[in-house]
Amino acid sequence: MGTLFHLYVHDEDGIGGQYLRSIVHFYLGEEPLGLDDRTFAVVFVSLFMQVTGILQLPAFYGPSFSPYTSLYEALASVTKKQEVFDDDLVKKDRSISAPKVTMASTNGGSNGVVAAEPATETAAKKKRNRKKNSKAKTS
Amino acid sequence: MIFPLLVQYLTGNYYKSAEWQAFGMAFQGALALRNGRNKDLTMSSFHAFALSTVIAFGGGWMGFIWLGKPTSMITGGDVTWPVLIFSFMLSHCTPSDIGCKLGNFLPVTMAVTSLAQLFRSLGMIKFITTAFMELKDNPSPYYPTPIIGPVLYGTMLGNMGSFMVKGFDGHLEKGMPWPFQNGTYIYLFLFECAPICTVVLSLNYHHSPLYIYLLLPFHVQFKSNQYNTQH
Repeated sequence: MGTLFHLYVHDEDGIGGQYLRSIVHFYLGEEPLGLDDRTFAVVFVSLFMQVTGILQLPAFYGPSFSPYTSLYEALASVTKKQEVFDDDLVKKDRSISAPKVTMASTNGGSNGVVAAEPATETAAKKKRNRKKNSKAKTS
Repeated sequence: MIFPLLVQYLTGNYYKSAEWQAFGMAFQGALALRNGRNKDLTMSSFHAFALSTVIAFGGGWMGFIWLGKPTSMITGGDVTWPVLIFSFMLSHCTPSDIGCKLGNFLPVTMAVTSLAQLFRSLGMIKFITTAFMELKDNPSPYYPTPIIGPVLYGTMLGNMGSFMVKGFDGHLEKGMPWPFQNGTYIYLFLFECAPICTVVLSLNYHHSPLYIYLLLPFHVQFKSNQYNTQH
């Protein structure tokens, strides 16, 4: 409301104030509701604050009511659900093809550097080791 | 018939307008204290009274200091202080608590809220105008009118009381307080930018004013060009 009033009344040369006044004059005429620009802005700001103030009473919507954030929160809840859905997809992808992370330091590496090793490779190594072991036992 | 009366009321042009508005603010602040922290009347009287003045007129206490002017609690003290004392007595010191019960009666609450809201809206306009008069001869090189400074000054009016009572974190930790929203949101919301605002703000509405001011010049330029080509 403060921004609206300030631009509408005080911004004589700037494009913001000119745009606002041109829109209001276009829809409501040169003297909107028979009032000059300043009085119209004061009436509009006051009326808006009256309505929101009454709606913020505990008997109505309560002090947390805001005509601005109610819209945003409605959309934010939708985007939040989408984010959760995306997170689930990412988790599934990771479980399918995520590389297995092993500490290189435990295998003789230095400085605790983390080395990525594909999970499929370790499985193949295990198979090879098993085969070698079984061959050695049979021989 | 009704419209001229409505305009008179909303612009504060009626008999003893300033006194009625100050009473609305003072009684609302005293009632907020009486229904909240001092519900059981455990606070000392002077502590409770001083707190009610801060809850009701936090902006009046601190606002004008930002521009190096005497606060309205001093310049308008002859109206404000008697009204504050009367409101405190009415909400805290009446027999059978009748003043508090009357204040919590819905029609009376609505009338007091209406007067207080009128005080807030006209106060915000007065603060913005005062700051603009101070700054209008020194605009930034980027825009011919000082915009953010006066709006910030007017917006802080409604936040001073909460900052003083709750502290910085206490006032802001639950997201953007209503007085901040009211000072900064409306322009784009009203003028055909609601879809853009909604999408951008839904990403993280705690940071929304920044996005609004980033979007504002582009949107205004676009709409102005559109309007000029149509006419």
